[in-house]
Amino acid sequence: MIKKIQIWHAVLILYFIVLLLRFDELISTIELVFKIFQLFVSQPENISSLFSSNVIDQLTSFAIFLMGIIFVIGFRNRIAWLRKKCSLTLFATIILAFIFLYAPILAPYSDNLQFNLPTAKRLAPLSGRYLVKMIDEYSTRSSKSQYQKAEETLFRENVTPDYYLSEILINNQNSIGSESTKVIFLLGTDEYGRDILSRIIYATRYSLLIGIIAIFITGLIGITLGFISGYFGKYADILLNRIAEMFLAVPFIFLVILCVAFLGDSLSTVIIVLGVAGWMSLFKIVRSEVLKLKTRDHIVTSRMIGMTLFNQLAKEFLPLLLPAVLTNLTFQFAYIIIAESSLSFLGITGNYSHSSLGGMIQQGFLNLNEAWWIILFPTLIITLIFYTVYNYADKLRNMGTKQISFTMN
Amino acid sequence: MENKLKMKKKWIEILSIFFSYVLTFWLLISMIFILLRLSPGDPALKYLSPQLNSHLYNYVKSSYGLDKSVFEQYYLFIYNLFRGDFGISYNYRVPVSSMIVETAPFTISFSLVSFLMQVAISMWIIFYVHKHKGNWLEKSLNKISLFLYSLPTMTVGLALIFIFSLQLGLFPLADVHSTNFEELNIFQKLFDLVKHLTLPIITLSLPGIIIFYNYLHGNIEATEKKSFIKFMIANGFDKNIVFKKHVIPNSINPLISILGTELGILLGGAVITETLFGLPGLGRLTVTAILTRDYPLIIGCVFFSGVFVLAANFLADLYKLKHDVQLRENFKNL
Repeated sequence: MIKKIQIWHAVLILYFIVLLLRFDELISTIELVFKIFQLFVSQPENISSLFSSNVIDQLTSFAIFLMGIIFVIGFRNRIAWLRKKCSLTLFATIILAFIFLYAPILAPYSDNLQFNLPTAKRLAPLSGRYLVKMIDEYSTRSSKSQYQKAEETLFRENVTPDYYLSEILINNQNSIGSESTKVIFLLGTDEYGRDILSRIIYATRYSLLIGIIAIFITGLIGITLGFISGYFGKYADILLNRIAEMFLAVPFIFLVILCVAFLGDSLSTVIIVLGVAGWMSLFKIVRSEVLKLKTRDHIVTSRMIGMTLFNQLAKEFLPLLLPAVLTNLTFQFAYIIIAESSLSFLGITGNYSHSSLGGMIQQGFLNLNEAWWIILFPTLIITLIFYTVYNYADKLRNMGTKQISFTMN
Repeated sequence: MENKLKMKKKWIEILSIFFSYVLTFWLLISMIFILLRLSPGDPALKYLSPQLNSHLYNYVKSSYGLDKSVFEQYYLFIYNLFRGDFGISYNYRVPVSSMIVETAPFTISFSLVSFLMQVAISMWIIFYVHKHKGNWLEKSLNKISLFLYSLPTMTVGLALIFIFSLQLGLFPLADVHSTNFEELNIFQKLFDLVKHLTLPIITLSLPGIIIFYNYLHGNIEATEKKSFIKFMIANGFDKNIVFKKHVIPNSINPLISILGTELGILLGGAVITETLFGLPGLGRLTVTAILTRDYPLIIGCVFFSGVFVLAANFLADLYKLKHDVQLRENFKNL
């Protein structure tokens, strides 16, 4: 039974689960779209002020969500890989892709939303509480537009005085009106009363995003320098090789620490540093491959007929380099994600405004005795990401490329 | 006469390797200097605690030669590094070099013990697997080696701490020795150290064991297929002796070449392991240094770790030059 599950089955099942669990969220997103449309019709000049990053995030992932369902159902017969057998690694990949693409829909709360501490501090997984929404006369009569209300229910960034958590059901027949709904914290809450599930979802997304951008930088630098070194040789080759040796001499983490110390620990710096710190192994691979390919007939011909350097690289070299480059980059992707979370675990780069897996582990480490769940789930997710990516890299390596460097510190 | 020529050639090879390492070393120093200059803000402030007054600022600026031209500063920077003068850590108020001398021995011996453990355990597994081919250990290792290797150091360390220290209470949580270490006799001291360092060493060694095992396993299988081994076995040599005296020495050689990289991995892993287990080593010192923005200390730590890895790579290169004939042939063609 399980062996017969194809990729599109798995994707559809996941879509179904998301629809079932996050139905309210989807409905309120549709409401938001409707309100925006209304505003667009009534006052088109103010429309640009409505689009905060939150709204754009929510709407894009909602659009991708709808398109994804249509794509999977409509194209399952036409696209062959949708009908492939769904192995465990593929299933993990699909889950990670879901988290990456649909984070705003999947996460119940914003990652920095703090509930009132006395009730919400370090709740165990699966514990239910009542979320009480006050409806006093002030807030109903206040000048909040309908759009703002719709936005507020979707993105609760701070706890406004209107919301609080309560352990017992509060009757709403009092003079102060209040609505209470039961909420369940699936993975519990942390030290500061934030929902761990939401934090993990956003942190995973950022972790993957950092990895993807950093790997792009690594690929750009590694391929360019490797090509220059292998193609021109001589002094450029000697110099670049020495520089690569120099970078290899400093252990990866020390190198990143050095750069972060001097260039600051903002998110963009960390991404660039992580990207730059790993170019050496890719450089060596590309260089040796280019050296081998340089004397081949079709490449010599392409040089003879006067192709530009960039065209030679893009059309003649890259297709032949691709397996080796892809394998190396996949390995590096795994290492970069680990490095990023290790750095934020050590507290070196944790000062972003969003949650990070390493930061969550660090916080859990400080509360290890009282609350095991704070640390367990981020660790599991990191291991899952690393294992999945590593599995792919291993498969790619076994598929035919032999000389891929195994280690990158 | 011919012998003399050979000796001369060998010396030239060694010298050229040495020269390339000197070049790398110089590049390393330059990179640190360029980073120091590139970083936003006044470099003099980086050598100065923010709590000190402005009068001292001018004094420090001139004492580090920061009022001179960039080239003079560069010269001074290199000169100071060679004298072992990394400046004064403003967090601990002691020279950086003395702090490194204090903490480096622990990290070096820690990594060395871990490295020896890796070699010993992976060799033991190799022998065991070779003796009983197709047994449970080989099968299970083939299946879970990827999983074991893909466990991050952080995860392993945390899991070990949670299970063995917190839940079972078998091992202490942090530090190298107990508070009453001085009162114990020598056996108790040894036991105390072992008790404290067991978990960190397991954490640091686990990925390495898997790498060595995979590497050696592949090499040994390749060597066993070679004709001279088959010839020996066909001639009736004892299989175990052939394995110990011919298969292993022939497949262990490439392992030396990854020694330098392995050392880098160990030093990097030591950063996390030492922080997790609260051990007084170079890695933890670096982390504390960056958390307090102690720039002289950061430069010192990074410089030292770089030099350490470079030295190990140099030794590995020399070893290879002596033993690896194929590489020597390649070297002639360069």
